[in-house]
Amino acid sequence: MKKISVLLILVLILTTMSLSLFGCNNASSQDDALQVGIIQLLDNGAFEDMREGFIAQMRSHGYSETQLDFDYRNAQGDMSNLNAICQEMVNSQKDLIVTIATPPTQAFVNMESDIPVIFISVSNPVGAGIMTDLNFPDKNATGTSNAIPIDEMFKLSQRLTPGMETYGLLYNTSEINSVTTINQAKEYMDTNGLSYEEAVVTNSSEVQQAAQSLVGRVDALFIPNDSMIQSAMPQVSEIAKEAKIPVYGSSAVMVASGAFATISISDTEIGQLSADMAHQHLQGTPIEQIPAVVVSSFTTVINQTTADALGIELTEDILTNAVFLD
Amino acid sequence: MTLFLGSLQLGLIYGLLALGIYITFKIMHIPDLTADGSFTLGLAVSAVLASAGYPVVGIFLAVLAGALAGATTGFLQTKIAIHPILSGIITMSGLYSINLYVMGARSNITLIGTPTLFSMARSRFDFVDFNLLRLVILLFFALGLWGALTWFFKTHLGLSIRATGDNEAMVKSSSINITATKIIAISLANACIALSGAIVAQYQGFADISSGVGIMVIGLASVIIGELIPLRKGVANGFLTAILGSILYRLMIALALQSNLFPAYALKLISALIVGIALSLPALRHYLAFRKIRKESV
Repeated sequence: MKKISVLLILVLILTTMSLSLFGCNNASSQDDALQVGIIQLLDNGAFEDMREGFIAQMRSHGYSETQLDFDYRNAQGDMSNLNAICQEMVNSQKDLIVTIATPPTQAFVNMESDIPVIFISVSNPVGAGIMTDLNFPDKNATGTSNAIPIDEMFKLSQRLTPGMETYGLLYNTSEINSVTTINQAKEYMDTNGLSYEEAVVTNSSEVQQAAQSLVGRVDALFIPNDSMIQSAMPQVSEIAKEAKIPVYGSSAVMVASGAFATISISDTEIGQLSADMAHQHLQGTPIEQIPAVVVSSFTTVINQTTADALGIELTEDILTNAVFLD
Repeated sequence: MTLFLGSLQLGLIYGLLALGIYITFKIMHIPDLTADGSFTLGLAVSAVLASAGYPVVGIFLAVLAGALAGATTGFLQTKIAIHPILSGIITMSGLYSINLYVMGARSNITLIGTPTLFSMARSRFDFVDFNLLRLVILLFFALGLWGALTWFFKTHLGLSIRATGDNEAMVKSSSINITATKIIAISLANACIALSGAIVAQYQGFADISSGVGIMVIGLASVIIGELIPLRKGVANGFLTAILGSILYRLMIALALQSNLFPAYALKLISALIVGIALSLPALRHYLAFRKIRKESV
């Protein structure tokens, strides 16, 4: 038995070493296809839409499967695996890395490899340390930032449901994207004479009670780009519907699962925008010359069922300009 | 080569975590769930101080903070007599808010571009390959902690702690204060775990509040895999197997990542299989030994 374990361990070390030494060769020598690695930290609907959008857009730019090979890796929430994935990507000498959201982008930029990075949806690229100026990417990484258009959001709310004074902010404190948005929202409300009540959660089992705690204290709910609340949106919207409170979300996914309205760019589109930047780079433009993009073209998305349940009358110009979901 | 060196580096960093888990799980025989919280606490303290320009101080304070977190769990377990699993969970949950407080209510702190232990070493020894340099630094930490723990667990106090883990009733009757030995052991364990977190933050260039998720399982897996390494029993070898187990675990993950056989969503299943197979080897060992005896007796 002792011999067996020693043998097993030796085999393991040798295979890893040889694979990591020669792995790079057989990956690129298979064919001349461009190797693109996609790194995602965890599974959620928005990230999947972004990834699908990116891949589809690259294909429509004319990179066929024989010309461009995607290697998609997901750390499934485990940060230690995130580092291992980054090392594997560097080791197999990818031509381009695509990262979704903040932590994978930071982890890969910190590898200081020569491989260019295109990121999708980092809400504050400068704050995350992956570039010092949005216009001049200096760390071999550029991509899209989907800062939620806070003022547009509140203007929409005042137009659809005039007279809202106190907003309930429901979010989880562990996501940098959602905390950034919340801070902007608070700033906006402070300067515009609106008040707010907060309810924070740390895991999805707390969402229901947090939402209920806001009932009766607020006129409307505002949900940032928060994947935890997004997953629990059906629960939140049920509670809000019963209490006749409109819920303003931050993505079309939230509206599809029962939130009243949002101003959003679809996650698929963010992925597509990043793909356009990747295409630009693969055509020969260096990363430093592709400024990061803060996504700014938005559409109003409204959930018809929720609007009916809340008894909200929609004006003619909204009816013609907004996208309606059931 | 990056992957192989990288796996060794990660193996050594999480080896520090495995040392902590080894103390509670193998020496004290206590299931300590504080790890998820104390790991992130170490990460947070180290990141905050590094981003303020004090990476080395950050590591020291992280260790202290981890020890304090461990002492809290120890206190709940002994003085308040809360079940060990529950007291770990209580500390871990409380630490979530404390960690956010430490990080200034932000869930993510970047260290990209700020001086860390590793970037400072690089500017001093710029003639050495960065990957090798990092490996040497981590080796220094792992061997240093290994040496320190081995020494400590051979002192009078260390022996009392080991005895408490082996036979509480006996130790109690020989008038050793088992409350103290338990609290010291759990503090020491969480100090190791926080040290691991502190180094991870400076190694990966950022601290994120969700970095500690599932860290306990990684530590346990390392300890269990380490048990397969045929070394003589003893405290020094025991600690060594924990570190080696962590390295082996990382190598296995690297192998799983290397092969394109599995779809991306299979990663967790693969790590579960690795741990499952490692756990089943002792049973297989028993079975083989039993068969051998049966054969010989026929």
